[in-house]
Amino acid sequence: MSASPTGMRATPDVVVTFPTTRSALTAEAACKEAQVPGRLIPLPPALGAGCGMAWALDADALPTFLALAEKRSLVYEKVCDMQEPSAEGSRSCS
Amino acid sequence: MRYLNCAATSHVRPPAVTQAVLAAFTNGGSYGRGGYGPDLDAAREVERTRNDLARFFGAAAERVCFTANATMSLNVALSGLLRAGDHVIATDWDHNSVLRCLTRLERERGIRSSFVPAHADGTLDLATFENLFEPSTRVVVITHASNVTGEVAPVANMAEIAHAHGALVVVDAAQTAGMLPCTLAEIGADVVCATGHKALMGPQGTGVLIAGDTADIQPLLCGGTGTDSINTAQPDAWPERLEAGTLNVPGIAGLGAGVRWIEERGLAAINAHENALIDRLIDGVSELSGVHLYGPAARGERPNTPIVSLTVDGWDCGVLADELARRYRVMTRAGLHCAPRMHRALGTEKSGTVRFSLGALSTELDVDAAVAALAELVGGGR
Repeated sequence: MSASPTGMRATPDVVVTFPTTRSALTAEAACKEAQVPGRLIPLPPALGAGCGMAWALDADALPTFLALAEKRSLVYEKVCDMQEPSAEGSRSCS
Repeated sequence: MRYLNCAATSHVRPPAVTQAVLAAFTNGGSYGRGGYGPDLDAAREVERTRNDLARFFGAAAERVCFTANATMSLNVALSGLLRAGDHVIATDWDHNSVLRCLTRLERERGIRSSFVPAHADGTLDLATFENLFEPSTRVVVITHASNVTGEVAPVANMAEIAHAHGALVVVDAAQTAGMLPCTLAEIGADVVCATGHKALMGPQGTGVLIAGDTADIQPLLCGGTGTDSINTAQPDAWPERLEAGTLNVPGIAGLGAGVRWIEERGLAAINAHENALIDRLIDGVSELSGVHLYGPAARGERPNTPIVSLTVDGWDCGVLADELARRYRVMTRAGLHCAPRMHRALGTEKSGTVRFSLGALSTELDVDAAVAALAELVGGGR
């Protein structure tokens, strides 16, 4: 899969969802400060009929993100694997 | 032109505020309505301001909710806290933003209101305060500083008493936020309601509601938040809980610039500047014949917010304010200042007063011009 100009694949490996716009923006600011790769994207429709923003990242950056989230008490809802849809087409989220 | 109506709005604002408004308006993005480009920039700007306000008011950032003004903040707070059968204690200092909201809630929900009376000299009758509590008293709403006399209420002491009775404290900081310390902890508030366009130096159409974790405020408005759209109920999560509809991003950007300007200058320096100006104003007008001052100024005390109300023998207040504006370009405000109970206590319910109010960017020239104009109009010294 081709990489985007930011170095991340156009279809992300992992998407993290948030309960509020503020929590998404707070995560973005924390990741930038800690140089954890990723970017904010519109919430993919596959993750629900809601709207809002999500944090997209490569799979190999996930452990670093989760460690940062714990350290900084970042508020997020779900971590979704975007590469392995279930038989019903939904995504596996934890 | 000399603008001595800063208790109504700042009028003169730091250039950084205008620049921030223009930049956000030119950018044109909307908060939480897109995860890219201008919308993302707008969201970042709003959250930057939210963080600044959280620091300024000593609150958790997610508990800083944007509104259109202090009136809206107070309506959201009171409507969102008071339930059928609740009792609320307010004060004679309160603005119609509190009084009219309570009147509506009395009619629609059957709440009951009691008021801490003001004496004829404008001070609150605090001896009465503790006697007003009932088992059903859920909220005490306190005006931090009177918009008529500039006097500051002993809000922390009142909050301590309210909390001892199990009541929540809502503070109307319309006249103090940006002038005096207003952190939740310092003033003992569970909710602080403030406007952005007065001492916080932001644009009109901005306000904030700052909630401590003790305040479970139910939403007044319901609508789009840009999140959880499948859910037709208003989200519980803060700040979306109290932020239905499109936010005023240019205004919020300007408000952020205003708060940062205040922090750079320092509240203590602003307060010292304003105290010096109000002393100068009181000294000047006290010497004039037929002038009657109200509140602390009449008692030989400094009001602690830069407001002085006066009447002049033989002058209708509206005519006096009009003459000051028309002949001398000195802008004041005549009337009841949306505070009818306070004017009733002061004995000026029928006449009103002429209010002179200053701000962080007021100058000695403003004060001297106002005093000279008033002296010429009313005929000089005693």
